[in-house]
Amino acid sequence: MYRTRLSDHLILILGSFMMIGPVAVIFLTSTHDAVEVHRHGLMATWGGHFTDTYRKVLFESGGFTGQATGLRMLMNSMILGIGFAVGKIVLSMMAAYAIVYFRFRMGTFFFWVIFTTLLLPLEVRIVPSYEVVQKLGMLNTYSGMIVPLLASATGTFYFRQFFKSVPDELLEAARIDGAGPWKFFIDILVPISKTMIAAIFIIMFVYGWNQYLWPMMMTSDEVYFTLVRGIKQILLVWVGSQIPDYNEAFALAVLAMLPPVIVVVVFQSWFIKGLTESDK
Amino acid sequence: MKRVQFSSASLPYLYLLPQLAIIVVFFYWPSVQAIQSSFYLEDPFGFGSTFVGLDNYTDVLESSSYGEIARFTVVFTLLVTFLSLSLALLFAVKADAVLKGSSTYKTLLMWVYAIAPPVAGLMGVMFFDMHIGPFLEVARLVGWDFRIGLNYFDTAFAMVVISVWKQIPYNFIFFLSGLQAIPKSLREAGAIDCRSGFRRFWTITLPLLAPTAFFLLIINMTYALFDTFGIIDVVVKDKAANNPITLVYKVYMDGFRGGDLGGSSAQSVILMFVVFVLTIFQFRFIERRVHYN
Amino acid sequence: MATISLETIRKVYAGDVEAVKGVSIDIADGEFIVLVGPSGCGKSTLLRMIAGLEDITSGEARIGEKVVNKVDPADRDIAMVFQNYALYPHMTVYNNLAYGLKNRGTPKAEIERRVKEAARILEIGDYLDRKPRALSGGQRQRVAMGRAIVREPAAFLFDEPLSNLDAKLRVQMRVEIKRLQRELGTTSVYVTHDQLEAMTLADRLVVLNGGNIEQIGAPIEVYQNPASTFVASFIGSPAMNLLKVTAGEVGLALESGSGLSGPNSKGKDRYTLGIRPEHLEVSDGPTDGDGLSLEVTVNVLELVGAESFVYASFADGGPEIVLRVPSHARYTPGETLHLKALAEDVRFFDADTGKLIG
Ligand SMILES: Nc1ncnc2c1ncn2[C@@H]1O[C@H](COP(=O)(O)OP(=O)(O)OP(=O)(O)O)[C@@H](O)[C@H]1O
Ligand SMILES: [Mg+2]
Repeated sequence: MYRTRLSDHLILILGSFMMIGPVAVIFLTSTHDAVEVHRHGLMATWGGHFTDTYRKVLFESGGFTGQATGLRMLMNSMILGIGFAVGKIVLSMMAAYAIVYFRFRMGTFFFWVIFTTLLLPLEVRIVPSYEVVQKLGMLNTYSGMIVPLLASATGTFYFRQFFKSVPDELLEAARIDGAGPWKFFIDILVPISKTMIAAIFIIMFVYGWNQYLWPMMMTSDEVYFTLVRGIKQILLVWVGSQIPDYNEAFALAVLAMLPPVIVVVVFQSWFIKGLTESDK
Repeated sequence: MKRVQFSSASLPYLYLLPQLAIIVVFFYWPSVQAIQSSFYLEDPFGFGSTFVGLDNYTDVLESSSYGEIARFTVVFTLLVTFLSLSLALLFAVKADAVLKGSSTYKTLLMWVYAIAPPVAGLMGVMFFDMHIGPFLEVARLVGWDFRIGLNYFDTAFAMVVISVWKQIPYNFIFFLSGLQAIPKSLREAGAIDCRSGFRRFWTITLPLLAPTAFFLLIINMTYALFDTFGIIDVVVKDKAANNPITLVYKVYMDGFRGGDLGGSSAQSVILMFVVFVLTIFQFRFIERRVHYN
Repeated sequence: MATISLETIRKVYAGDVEAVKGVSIDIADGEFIVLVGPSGCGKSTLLRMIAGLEDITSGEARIGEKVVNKVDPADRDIAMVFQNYALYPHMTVYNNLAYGLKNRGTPKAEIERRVKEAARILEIGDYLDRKPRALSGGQRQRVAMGRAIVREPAAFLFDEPLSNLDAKLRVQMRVEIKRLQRELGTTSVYVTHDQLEAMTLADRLVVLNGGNIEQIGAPIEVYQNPASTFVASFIGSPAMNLLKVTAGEVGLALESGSGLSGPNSKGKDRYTLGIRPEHLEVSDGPTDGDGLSLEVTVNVLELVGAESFVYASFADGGPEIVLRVPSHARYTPGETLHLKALAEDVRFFDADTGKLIG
């Protein structure tokens, strides 16, 4: 059989380094102070300003109007990530349930109405979407940030595939046991979808947390800024400043990647299963 | 679908309602608007709009800048797709081959999936930065005067590197699980039939990975076209002036910064068409794959 | 407890597949009915119509006195055991059994009593806190049975409940199901394509073929007097020997030309003659009389333990026939055998319709 060669490990170590190196450097640099960074460039050593910088980024306000602390942005990111993931799961489970488990006229029609959304990502209809949200008075609101992102069928597609793989006999047994549509959904289908829900939650949480273009367009009020959205703000503030606050910017970047990275690494096996088994 | 289904006059509609309502309001309405306003010329000061037929389309398609951006988008897409796929495949094959540490490598190579494109963009920009970026030193060694944001080629180079870096983990995850799904008996048969490891990879492993690779091809093209927005935005910092941008970025620039709603909408519709074609390909393919299994 | 009666039940699936073509059966209270037939003959469909899982296209189904055509499965007072058991994977065995009772608003204490009782009968008391995943196939099967009996329904419906078990367990569970049904006295309808299971379990067999009933009767009756060549070849293993013969001047002739002597069917000169393998006996030479007498060449001897099967054919081809011989008997391939059978053991079937004559 195949024998592992040294070169295999070498390539893998190189690849791992390529993935970790930049992030490690950014993190280490964030522990130095701005002047030092400005003078010496990115750092690969521990700087000793860790607590200062992160305390400042988390608890002191930055930005234009001084309303957004790192903590506030962290909370907003959480709201976006969790709100999006939960919304997605609830909506798409219900829709997939209707499509798979009910016989009704127009079923096929609605199936296509929903699945057409897979064709067009938000990016290509961003301007008119903005106008719609504006007309509805949802600019600078959490719902305006989350709800338009829910207008796609990805989750529904996942759950449809999954529900179709559930043995028919389970529904039949439950019906004989006297379970109606709602009881079957809550007592049987939701519990057996647990791992699926967990996997989709992780994927959707990361997706929501990492949203950039949409939050950037529809939040001008810093109170609603997310961490990822904050990146843009950093760059805008830098334009024209003598010594940019590199350290704080990097600290913010580290905060912005930390929660999704933790989730993905800790729940790795669920996440990979969810990603690869549902064909997008 | 199911052998036995519930039949109820109202319930299925009730379950579908929330999803449908959101889709109609935030998908169909804006999409129809995009198509509609692509036929109108909006007055820049907000005094109504006039119907101009296909003018917006011809304007867009005839403008030299659009052609240039389209060309860049194609090159960018192909480069990002090709590079991230091949690197990911290399890592996946190696991670699948080693006996020890395979799961550690897996974690190390996949976790970057969780990083947002603009965050990756910020990090990348700092590495290529003219004041603090370490890459400059390296470039200087070979006599390359690297100037991100100022030199078209250099900026494009940075964009590609960052985009590839960000996409490797996704492809890696799929390739690795594709490889691990190949039955052990098949590999053993391969090992008996063919001594050269390299030949075995080309004649046995790769064909078996072809479905995964094709699926990823489409996904990566979509990624390069749309999801790289955050990276590009951070790299060019709203100053598109001399910098390379992609078609999506132009839609955003024209529609938001430039206030050219008609032109931007026409571009949206053109992009819609491109995605449409890509997705049809993908659907047909998925259908085929379902057949095979 | 209840009777079940079906009156010209039909089922047409979407796409014009007529799976059940007008079936009528009256099932007595406490009776064990087995639906048997080859794959695709409509057994499951018929059972599922009784359960209420499929709509009845036309005809009438009654459980007790009540017409149930439009009644929801939950309200038919039936319980069903599925081939793949369909246990709720996320519930413990206890909850699997209790779920149907809970949905009916049975008091907690009563649920507990019934579950414990069912667990005792089925000897699954030790696993009540386990999830189905942690059970063996046989144990899962018992849980599926338990789910049916706790409900104390008017009827049990079984759809090939044993076909996922290995051969030994299958025999064991078969015996147990029979014992249980005797004890509880609950009307049961049982689907299988295994004719041995059908023979051993049934009070009455219903043999289905292509959506029609071929025969209804007690197993022994069906075995001895199959209503058609279809039933004759389906029930019994090895199957009944069927020989298409033409009555001539002297004796009978096979299509291939070989002759044999045997009893005449009343009034027909072309018919199919049926004889069970155990009714054929090796004799020293051609025999006279009104019994069956034929001469064959041994092809293969199959030893199965307590007995052996001899496969043999006629001199100039034609159908292969089987006979059952004691396990100590030794015949070698190529050997010529004279076989005889009593006239009363021979059955006649119409050459065209395949129906039993007489
Ligand atoms: N949902 C359906 N739609 C269309 N045709 C069906 C459907 N279910 C069953 N059939 C057809 O009806 C016929 C009878 O099917 P049924 O499942 O009752 O057979 P069966 O006797 O139980 O066979 P088996 O022993 O294989 O389980 C078959 O020809 C089958 O193809
Ligand atoms: Mg069946």
